[in-house]
Amino acid sequence: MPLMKPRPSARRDATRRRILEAALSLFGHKGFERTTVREIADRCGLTDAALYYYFPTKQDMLETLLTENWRLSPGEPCGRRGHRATPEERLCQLADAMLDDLAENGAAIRFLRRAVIAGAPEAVAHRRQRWQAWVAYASDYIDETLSAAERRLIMDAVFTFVRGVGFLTHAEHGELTASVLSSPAFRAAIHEQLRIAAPIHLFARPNLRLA
Amino acid sequence: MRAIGLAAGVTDAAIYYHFSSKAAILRALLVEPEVMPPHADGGAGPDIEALTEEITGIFWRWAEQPELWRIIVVGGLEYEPSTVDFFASAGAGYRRLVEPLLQPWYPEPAAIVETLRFVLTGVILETVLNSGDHIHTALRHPGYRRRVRRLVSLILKGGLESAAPGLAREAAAGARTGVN
Repeated sequence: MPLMKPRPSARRDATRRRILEAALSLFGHKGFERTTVREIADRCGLTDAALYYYFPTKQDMLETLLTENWRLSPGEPCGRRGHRATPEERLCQLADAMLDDLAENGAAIRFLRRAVIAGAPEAVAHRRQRWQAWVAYASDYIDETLSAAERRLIMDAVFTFVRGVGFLTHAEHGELTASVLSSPAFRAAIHEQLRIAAPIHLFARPNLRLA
Repeated sequence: MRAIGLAAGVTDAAIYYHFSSKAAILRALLVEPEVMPPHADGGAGPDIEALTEEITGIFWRWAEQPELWRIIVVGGLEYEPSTVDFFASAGAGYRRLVEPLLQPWYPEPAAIVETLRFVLTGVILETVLNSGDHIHTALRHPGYRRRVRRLVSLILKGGLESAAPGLAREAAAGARTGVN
């Protein structure tokens, strides 16, 4: 048992959280290998020694980030099944939820992707879990009068499109990514392109909907 | 360069054997494949199937060096400067290449080209994330090729709506049969 005088746990939690946020942002931006412990300490205004008290190694931070659920699953579906929403508008709502997630958790998502490419099994499992959560989330947003194959195609188109948007926006805008992804003008362009990428109106069956 | 080698799963020497510098690697990716200009046959809608072949053909030519996909994906995720430059030139190059292909049938091809760029980048990102060291194997899978064609053809049909709503509805039957 440590003989150290216990510190107020709220403050300790806040510091620990600050360290994880700094690590997440640096790992997500520069990658795990290129981030130094010193940089993480500098970013949260701590000494190396203080940082060591919370996380003895950089690897410990990585494991904590991967195992603690870092808001990496979708929130509650928004505007659940608005009666007046057309199938196209529902798809836009789905894309918006995914883009909100990318804007809010961009650093975490990039970090997760880097870890997947580096072959970390925890990251691969975490990504699969996250993907399954999004598939479940998305199924509420795709017109249920479509056939199973059509729904799969539309979902694939939306997911692939949004994935490309998130990646290229970051590759082109760097640290400004979150504000670009959230800007109304950008969203308007995305909605127009989504109509092209996932033209759900081509599959609509008005006669079935009247029944 | 060492980081590139690690990311691509090959040694520095192997990378240098092929390319003298990081800039040379990224330049190699920018080589634009030659594309035959299409012939508009007056009035009739686009031959979606032929255009799909053309556009996926460009994609497959990039896919001949999939180990480089890993390098650009890692570079993009890290906002690495030479990769950032690469994406800027690659985006401009793609627009120059594909807009003329669509122009005869789509009066405003910019949004369609942008959509293609996003979706095909999404495919590349996902391939790198899902396939790790087996990108070559994944790319050879017939199901993979079918899926890319399906996504591209869907975009070409979706893009018709803004150009000519009547044609889009005609294409709808095609879209539905194309699903299965």
